[in-house]
Amino acid sequence: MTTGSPARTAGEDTNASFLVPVILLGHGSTASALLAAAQGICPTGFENVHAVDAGTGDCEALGERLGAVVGLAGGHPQLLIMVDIVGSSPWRRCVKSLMDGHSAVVLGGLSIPMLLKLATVERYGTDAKSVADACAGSAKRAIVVSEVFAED
Amino acid sequence: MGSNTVTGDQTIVNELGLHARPASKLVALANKFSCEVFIAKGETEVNGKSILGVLMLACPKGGTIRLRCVGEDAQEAHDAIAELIRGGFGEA
Repeated sequence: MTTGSPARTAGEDTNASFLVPVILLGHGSTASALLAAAQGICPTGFENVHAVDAGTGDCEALGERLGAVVGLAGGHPQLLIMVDIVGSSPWRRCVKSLMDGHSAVVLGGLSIPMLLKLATVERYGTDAKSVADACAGSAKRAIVVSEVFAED
Repeated sequence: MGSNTVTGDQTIVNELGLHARPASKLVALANKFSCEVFIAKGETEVNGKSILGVLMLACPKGGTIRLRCVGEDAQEAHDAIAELIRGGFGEA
């Protein structure tokens, strides 16, 4: 989904020299933990990726942290935010924080496969929606149900 | 796309198989070459420049994968990746 002010549209303004900034947002400390785990697998490709841990319950503090990180990310219209659960209180806080002038593409279902794709997908000279679509596609393909049998 | 294709089978020798960090090393190496790189296990062939694709093969120690490189620098890519696999991705 895209949220925020219509004056700054997340799917436009593709500057070849600009890296799409990304904010990871999750319950508890999952955002920073998932980022650290993904970096343990793939050490490069996470430039301008910022983890924001929602912790437990303090929405005002979370709003302040999000505001600070949005500022770090440059407040660029190509901002991509990956959240663990769409519709959750951190997600609502995120949307609320964006209403005061910023715009972003928000992708739900934050996972390590999604972050591994993020590390390798081209983020220069593209738009946040394209990056989100690529990450979402990889995350979906990584969901596999298989039966494993013990060896004889 | 060039028609030069180099194919070869390789056995996974490291204890934990083709898990996340080896897959990351393989993909990083594959991406240094301009040719296309494909990795197959059995009937399943994946893009060798995609970590998730390589991981989805779930190849254990002792398993055999088929490396197929297509393009101008296919031979160089094949040899470099094969060497990485034979060396156990630098793991014990």
